Amino acid sequence: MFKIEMLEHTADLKYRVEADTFEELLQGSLKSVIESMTEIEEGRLIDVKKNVCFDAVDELFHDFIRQGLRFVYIDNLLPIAWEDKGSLFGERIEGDYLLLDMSKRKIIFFSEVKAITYQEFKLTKAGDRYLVEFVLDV
Amino acid sequence: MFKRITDYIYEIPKEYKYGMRVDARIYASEELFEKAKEDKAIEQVANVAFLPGIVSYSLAMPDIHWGYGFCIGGVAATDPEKDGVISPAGVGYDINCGVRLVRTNLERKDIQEDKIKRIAHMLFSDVPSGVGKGGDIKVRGEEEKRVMIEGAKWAVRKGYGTKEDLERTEEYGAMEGALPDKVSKTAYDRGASQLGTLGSGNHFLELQVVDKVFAKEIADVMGLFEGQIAVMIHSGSRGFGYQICDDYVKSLRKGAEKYNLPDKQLACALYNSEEGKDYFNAMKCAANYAWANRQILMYLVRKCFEKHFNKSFESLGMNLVYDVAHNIAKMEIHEVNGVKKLLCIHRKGATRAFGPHHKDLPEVYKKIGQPVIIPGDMGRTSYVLVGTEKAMKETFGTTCHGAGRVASRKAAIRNFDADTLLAELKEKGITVISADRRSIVEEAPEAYKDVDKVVDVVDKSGISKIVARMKPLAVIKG
Repeated sequence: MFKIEMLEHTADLKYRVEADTFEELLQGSLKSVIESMTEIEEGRLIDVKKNVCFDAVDELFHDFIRQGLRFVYIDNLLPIAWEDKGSLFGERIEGDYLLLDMSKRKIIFFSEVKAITYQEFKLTKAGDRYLVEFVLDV
Repeated sequence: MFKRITDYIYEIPKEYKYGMRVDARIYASEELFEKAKEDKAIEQVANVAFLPGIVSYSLAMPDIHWGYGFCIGGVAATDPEKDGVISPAGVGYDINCGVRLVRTNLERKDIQEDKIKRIAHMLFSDVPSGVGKGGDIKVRGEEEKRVMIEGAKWAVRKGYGTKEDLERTEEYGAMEGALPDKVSKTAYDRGASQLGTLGSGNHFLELQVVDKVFAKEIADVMGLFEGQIAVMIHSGSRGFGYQICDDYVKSLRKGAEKYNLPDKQLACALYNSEEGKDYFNAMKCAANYAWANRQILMYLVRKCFEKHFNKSFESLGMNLVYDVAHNIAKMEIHEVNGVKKLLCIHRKGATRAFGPHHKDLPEVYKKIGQPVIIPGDMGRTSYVLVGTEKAMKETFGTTCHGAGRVASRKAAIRNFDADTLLAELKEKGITVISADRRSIVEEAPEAYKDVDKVVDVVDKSGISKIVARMKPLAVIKG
């Protein structure tokens, strides 16, 4: 289970996501990014799955979100969920992005996430809980 | 700890934080300064004072608000000869986000409200807008490189404008030295189909009426008069610029650690280093892309007017007044302690405002100073100012860029409702067209500072002079 909270930020969007596992933390973070841009109906069928794997040590979380945005802006695919295949906190991310093909569907965006920033970025594990705070430039 | 230097300047001495290399100065009235203290913007002005090679002051304009690394409204000059750095955080994600103002011969008294609405709907239909939206113009490979190098000159060469438009564009529509090889493939891909598109968020097209002229002689030079219809275009380098910024914030992030900067987002590199030059030359590609973009947007606007009035844009008097960038870094010569120096000027949410007789101004504006276009929010006013000699002395020839946000998007969504907002704007005679209702709420007038108060500060402090005020008639939101 994950919990998403939108925090105050004058110019853009700041989120705090808490989860029981790192996998759920990624799922929750992806959901917060996508829901910043558009509304996704629950239970939408998936058109495409794309496998990704990152090993870079200090950029894992940012690269994960960057990849999601790359699907939206370059491949015309909207990530609506993340299916984990063994991600490790701070070491590795591996799994499938579950995507909608936007060329086949009418998807209305209300906002454009330009990028994930390093501003006030926090990624921590406290006890059994995982927590991330990040700011999106919109 | 904050010192009030004049009625409109507050100072943060460098003792405020250990590591600040210079004092910081914020141009603000008491009310705007108190507002700025509510979030982390003031801390960000102090953090920028840590940058290696910073000279004079870390500055902020009265539209200051919380940004990334630099606040919005932030200005910093670094000296490359004194190990000065260049920072993508001092430019922002939307590289060369900027504004242009197009005048017309049309007068409000001659155009009925339903006609205004029809033009607005034509603009909405003919000018691509919205998130990630592509346009009709596709540029790939060598052609995309030409856009990066030539900027608005490319657009004019392709028939999207005139030589006179270039004369009335900052940098004449292109910065020299752009190197497309320094741009990632992802950025190329994001830029290929977005030329001639407005984008989303606070970007807009606005039909305006010149509501009041404050300096007639200067307004005459610009071709502005009371009651006149004008069009304001606010857009930038779209996904192309966002990607370049993202790529270089990532690659220059180690600079923030290396120089013990208090904020990770203050990614930077020595200006005189390979990494620093790479960023600057890639940034120029995005800046030039943005000028080409606004040039094409203006072309589309002119086409709409031609179609509607069945007259050429020339006979409608649709000349460009000026085009300014408000997110950019430039190498400029300025005087510091009586010595002329070539400095890297970062302007993030701040506008160049060169005073009269500056060598970089076109002949037509040499006597009056550089026109500065200040967009407000969609329910209130926008302004035309001119740069001053005082700005050259105090702020590296810089002034404010707009109203500046005051409420978060979260608060805007919580507090405002699209139907009520649209009804209130209609009551004021303002038509708003947007593909999505939520963006209207996020951009509600009350989410912004009152631009009247912002320009009052830059006018009274002498770093620019108010020339004319415009009111919106129709707003096309991205």
